[in-house]
Amino acid sequence: MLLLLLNNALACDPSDLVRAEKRGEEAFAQNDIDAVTQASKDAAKALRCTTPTPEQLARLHRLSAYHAGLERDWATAEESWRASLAAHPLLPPEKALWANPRLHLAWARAQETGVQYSVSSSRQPIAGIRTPLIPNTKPLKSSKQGQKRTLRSAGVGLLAAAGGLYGGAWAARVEYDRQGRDGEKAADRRLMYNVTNSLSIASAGVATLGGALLVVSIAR
Amino acid sequence: MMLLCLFAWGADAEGERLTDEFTRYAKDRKWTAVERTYRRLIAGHPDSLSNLIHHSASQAARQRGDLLIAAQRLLRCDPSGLALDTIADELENLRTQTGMVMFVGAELKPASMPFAPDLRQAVLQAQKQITEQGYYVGLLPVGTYKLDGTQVDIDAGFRWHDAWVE
Repeated sequence: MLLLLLNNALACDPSDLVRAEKRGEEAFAQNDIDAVTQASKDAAKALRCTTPTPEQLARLHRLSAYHAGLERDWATAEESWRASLAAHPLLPPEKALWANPRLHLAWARAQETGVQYSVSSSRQPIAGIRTPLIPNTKPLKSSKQGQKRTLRSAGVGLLAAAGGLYGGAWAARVEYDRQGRDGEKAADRRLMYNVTNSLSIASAGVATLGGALLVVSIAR
Repeated sequence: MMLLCLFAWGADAEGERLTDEFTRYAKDRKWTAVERTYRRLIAGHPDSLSNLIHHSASQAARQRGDLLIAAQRLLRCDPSGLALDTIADELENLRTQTGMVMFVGAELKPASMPFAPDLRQAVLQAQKQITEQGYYVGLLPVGTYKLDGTQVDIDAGFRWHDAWVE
């Protein structure tokens, strides 16, 4: 039940990415910088539930280039174009690009500079492409990966906290037993009895939540 | 203000001069000079760039075997500009004759060398880069190759090979 609730809370639709990119491209054609900004954010958010194809990733970086172009930040625009080219070097351009000659030039310059690569020892899938080549372009923050890391960290943290609570319960139990050996009255020992039980129950609850987060982080 | 106008006129005049030079080099098929002049135009005189210039620069890239940059230069052409049929034909020609590859290895051998000089040059360039840098990313003629002894078939199209895409 807990797992289902967690999974539903973090759910999103894989087609959100395609829709957000299309919206951003239409907004660029109308020079609507706010809509391009919003579409870029929505597209980046949609990455948490899908691994983009090379074309989708190239379009996402191109959206960043559009955004930078509308802000007249040509260095960022060129950097974003190069990242887009690394994902897909021959993504067909949109007609709206010719309405912004300076951005078109940034695109051409990024192509002329080209993308350099370093060869990694492992074959990691980067943006859906299985390759040991790592482009020297700006990385895309994958919110999917970030979210998995956050969930895993939270899960481990909660399990550690559960361990601490259980340690506290164990110490309270030792104290409760000592009071019994010393012949204290049952009414005086009540406090330690309650503390032991409360900490035990709390540790079990926190451990369950931590375990659930770990399972979700692995399953997603 | 007057100084600014003079400067702008001077910059345009330099762009015009480079464009004339470029056209002359392209006519004489001096591809190294075409390449050099095109880079100068891109760097400093973007207003002088036309479809005909992008097209000639694409041919220069083909001559030295860089088919990816050749295709990219064709894609830069203005869809409302001149020579669109020629540009579309050449892009289609590249799309059907080549495939987009991302090779990592030490040795690349084609099953048979292509006959066309630009395609042959592309294979030679890829072989050289793989030997020197250990990888090659670009367009290669369709066909069968051996990369470090493993057979790889390159299909036509401007998309990554299926084996590399999840």
